[in-house]
Amino acid sequence: MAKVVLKDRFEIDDSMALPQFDSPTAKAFKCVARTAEFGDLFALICDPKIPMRAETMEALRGFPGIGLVKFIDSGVVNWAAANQRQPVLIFEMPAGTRVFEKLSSVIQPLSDDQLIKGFLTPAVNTLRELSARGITHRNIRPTNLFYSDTSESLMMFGECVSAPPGYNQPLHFESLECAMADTTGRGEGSIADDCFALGVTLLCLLIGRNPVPNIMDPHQFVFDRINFGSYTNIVGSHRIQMNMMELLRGLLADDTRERWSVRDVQLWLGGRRLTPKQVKLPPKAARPLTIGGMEHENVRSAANGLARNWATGGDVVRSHDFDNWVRRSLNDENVVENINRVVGTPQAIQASPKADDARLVTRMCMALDPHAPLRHKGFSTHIDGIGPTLAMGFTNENTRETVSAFVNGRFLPQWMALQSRTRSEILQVYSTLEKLPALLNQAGPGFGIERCLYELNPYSHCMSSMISHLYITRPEELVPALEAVAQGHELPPIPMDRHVAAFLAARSEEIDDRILRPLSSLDERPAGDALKVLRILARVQSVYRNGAAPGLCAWFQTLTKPAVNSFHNLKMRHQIENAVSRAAETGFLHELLKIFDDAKAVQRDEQGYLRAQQEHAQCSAQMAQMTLSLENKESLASELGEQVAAVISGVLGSIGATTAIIFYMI
Amino acid sequence: MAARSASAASTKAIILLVVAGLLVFTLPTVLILCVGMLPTFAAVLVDRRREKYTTLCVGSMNFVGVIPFLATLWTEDHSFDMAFKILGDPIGWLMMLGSAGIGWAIYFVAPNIVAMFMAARIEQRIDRLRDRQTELVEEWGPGVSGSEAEKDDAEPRQ
Repeated sequence: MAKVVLKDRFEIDDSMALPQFDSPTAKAFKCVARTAEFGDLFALICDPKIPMRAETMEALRGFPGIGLVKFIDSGVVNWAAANQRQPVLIFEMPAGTRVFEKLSSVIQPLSDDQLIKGFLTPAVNTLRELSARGITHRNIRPTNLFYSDTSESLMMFGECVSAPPGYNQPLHFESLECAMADTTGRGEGSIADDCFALGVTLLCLLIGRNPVPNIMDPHQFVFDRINFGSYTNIVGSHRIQMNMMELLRGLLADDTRERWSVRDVQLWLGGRRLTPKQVKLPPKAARPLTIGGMEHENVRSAANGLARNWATGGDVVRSHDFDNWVRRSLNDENVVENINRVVGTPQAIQASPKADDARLVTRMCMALDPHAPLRHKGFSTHIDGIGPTLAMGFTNENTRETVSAFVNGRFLPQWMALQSRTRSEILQVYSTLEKLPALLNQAGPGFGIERCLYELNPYSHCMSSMISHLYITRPEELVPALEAVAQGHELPPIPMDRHVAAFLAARSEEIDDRILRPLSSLDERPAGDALKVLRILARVQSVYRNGAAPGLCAWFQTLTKPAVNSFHNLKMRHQIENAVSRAAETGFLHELLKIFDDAKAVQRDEQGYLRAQQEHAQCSAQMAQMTLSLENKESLASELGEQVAAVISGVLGSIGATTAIIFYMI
Repeated sequence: MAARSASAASTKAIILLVVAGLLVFTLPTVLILCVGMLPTFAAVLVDRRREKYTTLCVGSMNFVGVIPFLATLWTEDHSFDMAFKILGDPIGWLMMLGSAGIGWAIYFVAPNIVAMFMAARIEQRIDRLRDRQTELVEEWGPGVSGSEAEKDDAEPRQ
């Protein structure tokens, strides 16, 4: 075992595990800073399959106070034990131990004073600072609380960035809106969701144990929380002092408008005391509505029931009974208006085709409960939870299909129309989601569900099977990663796949759809695919000023051999082979590309080859004709021979006659 | 058209009259020519070509063999006696018929020699064409001949 160095600043000892600081999805190890600016540190070696909260990490830098485990830095290291590169998070080590070792642990209940001074005061300060920085914690629970001092009087929140927001939270630590979503789709939420988790954590400390030790049926639990309130279901029969009851009722209110804010808790800590409010239950309809065998008495419950029974939900929504329930029994004008706005009139609903049932149910759920997660075909997520859901379930075909169906459903404009307030971060996700259907429905590399993955997860690593073990998150890391692959023994068929293309398209401003589109077209030229990939990677290497990549060039030298061999002129082919070898030795892909980009040379070769073929054929034809002539030379020579004989005789005769006449005349 | 053919016919008639007149006044010469040129008359009979190459060949050489005797006749005594004397000399016959034989020999040998020359020339041209084809194959590969597909030895590195 050895020490692993991160950014030349931190040394992580992979033989020194610190299980007391483990997170559910990350293992803690001893870490030492090379400079003296930090105290004791620990490193969390994170699961590469779990997307981290990169934006939150940035916002946490320089976080003041002792209410939150201090985030120091992050990066990627070669983790020998896993034989891959893994993300790592560096934190300052809390002085004390974990408050709850496990959720099933039982501790001595804390006194009011201990709670107020040791837990609530630092927690409220931390939440206020988080709120000021525009981020949420979303990981507040007793097992993620540490004592910040050796005397175990002050508590601090544990880390909140190693997993998607709320991913590690038990169901009862999540507000109703988040609890209704899938674990991966709970979204960033708001500080109100942190306040809810703060309330449940406070309750744990107050009674010294988990108030809801067993949730046998999560759906029933959520159903009960909807109908009878979270406070009733979580606090249950535990005896709470009156002074704490006001705080807990405020923090555990299901209606976010009623839920206590950080300011309210601060005022309470400052001494403000009010009469505890009764738990406010959702307005009941005049009569229950039966969906999937269960009776629903309020609009949120009905929406939840429809979402759970989405396969038969279309028939329910189209029925007159549902229409009567919404318009008469529920007696809520806002709901009717929402339905008219995003689903349509009763006539339009009833005329809706059966094939459109899933979309109809989704829109109806949105209209009935606009603050609930978006629910489609059993998939339940907040708008900013779609990305983490896809990232974590990408290898699962069902998840890919579900997210594809959701994206193609184009529910977001209607969902946005129903939101009274939208956070700026949501608007950013919305703008991303808006462009996804067009990208998803293109089949070629650089598009499809892989593109959705990287558009929705701007900080996730490239999941290509070639380089996923190298955990690259930025386009400038791609060529070095492929070079590392090229240096290996077993090479993939080509240094490009759907993930790499989509990763580049989503992350690199220099590689746009126009550059990637040729990958989709069929190319019958020799090594056509390799040349297209070469063109893209040459651009990446050039734009990001990656150094030489001789291994990758050698890989392309092999891949482009058919293109070299396609030159007909053997001399030219030999020259090009030499040129390719020289270019490959430089390690720069554009040098290789320059050779293959010479269209005039290709054209010259083609034309020359055509001419040579014609000339060869003409030679053959002439030779055949001459061979035939040779065979018939006697007949061909006969006439000419007679002519020649006549001429010779004529000439000899003339000479002879002239000579004789002269002889006799002299 | 009719006027032109009438004129040609009258020209022929004038020429025939002139030749007939000359023959009447040169009968010993005509006798020598008729007897001495017998191989030529034989050649005319066997020559089927329109161009009459055989006749030309044999006739030219035969005439060379007859000329010395005609010259003797004209220079010594242009009479029937002299003509018969010449015809009675075997040397005269040998010269006249021998020269015709040379004509025949040229006629039979020349085509074979011409055929040999032609064959040599054709073979030379075939060799040149074959050399050119070899050059083309060396420059452009066996695919240029169209008979053999170019071999692609590039295999993706696995």
